[in-house]
Amino acid sequence: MVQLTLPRGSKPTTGKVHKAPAGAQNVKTYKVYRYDPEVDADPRWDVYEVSADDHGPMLLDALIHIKNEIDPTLTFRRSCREGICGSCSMNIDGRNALACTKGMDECASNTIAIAPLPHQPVVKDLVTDLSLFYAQYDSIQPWLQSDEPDPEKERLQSPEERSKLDGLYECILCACCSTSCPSYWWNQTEYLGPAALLQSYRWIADSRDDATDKRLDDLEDPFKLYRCHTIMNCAQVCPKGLNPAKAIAETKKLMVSPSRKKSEATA
Amino acid sequence: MSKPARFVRNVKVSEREGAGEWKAERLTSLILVPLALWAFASAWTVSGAGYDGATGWFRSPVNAILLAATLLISIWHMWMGLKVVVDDYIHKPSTRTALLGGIGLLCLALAFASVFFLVRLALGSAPLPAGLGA
Repeated sequence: MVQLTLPRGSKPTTGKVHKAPAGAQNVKTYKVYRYDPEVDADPRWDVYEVSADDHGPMLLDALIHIKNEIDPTLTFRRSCREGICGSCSMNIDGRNALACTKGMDECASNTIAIAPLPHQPVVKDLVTDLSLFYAQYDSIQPWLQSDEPDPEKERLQSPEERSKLDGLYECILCACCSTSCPSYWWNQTEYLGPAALLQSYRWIADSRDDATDKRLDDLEDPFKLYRCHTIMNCAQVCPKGLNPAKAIAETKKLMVSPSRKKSEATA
Repeated sequence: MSKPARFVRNVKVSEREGAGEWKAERLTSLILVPLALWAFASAWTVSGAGYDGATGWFRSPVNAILLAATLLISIWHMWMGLKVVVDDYIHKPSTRTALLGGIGLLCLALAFASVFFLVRLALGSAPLPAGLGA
């Protein structure tokens, strides 16, 4: 049965409260998930009161301020600070997002809860272990597979063919979609998840790729593909505004298309 | 011959099936839209037709065949839907196998019962053979 309650050792307790200095203006309260599996028995919620006047407008600015000025032990991933590397994906106010593109003014209240991506093993604080997520991406063979010999220069595509990749190629693999998907929560060891499936469709839809039938064969499975029940959380949370559910639906349509050449299982 | 690995580098190896069932789920849904509307409309008519009117309605081959189709397709659709629920939420292999087996048997029993009673009604017999029930 799926786990509907947190197991022992996973329930966050109340942690430290870092008060804002007296007289601080425009104070926001951050409730941040803290956990170091090597030393902590249970995770905890630490509270940081920070004046929004002391840092930039984004959630990541607040986290960097907390780490630099208040608590250097706070651990999180970040790199580009402009929504292209996907490192700072986390759960902000109950919704997966990139901390660097989430504005403070987008948060509903003055108290903002920040937790790691849901249903992933926690390495420390807001850093999760995404090894399985990356293995799933690797499994869809995310590279061009063409039967044509290598051309002198680039492989040409018409503007119409190229436009089919819009809404697909922009994926930054931040894992916001997959870790917001209930089907992925319950069956992530067998279901590929929205990110890997969107990436797979990115190559299926590419006019220069000749491995469509093989790619479809590798996806046709009750669990790898068909655990998607169009819950649509993926499209709701994608920080790049993509729609993995639509890519999955297109893949499912191709699966039953008369033009598909299904090969016999080799195993 | 050794059994092929179920997982390669932590990712499941494709079973190369699932598309047929996905198509069947959608086709049965589509077919059930007109059939269900017809069944509800018929239930409305038959309920006001009295005993003789109702048994007469069941004796019509068109009604009997359409009702059999409605029931069998509904049961098929229900079986696929329940299977999805078990696959989604039940992870212990033994529990999953037992539940899927139980659901399969239940649906099979329902299908047999539906056809059995419809045939008897269509032939103008009492719903149950003599000696069984009222």
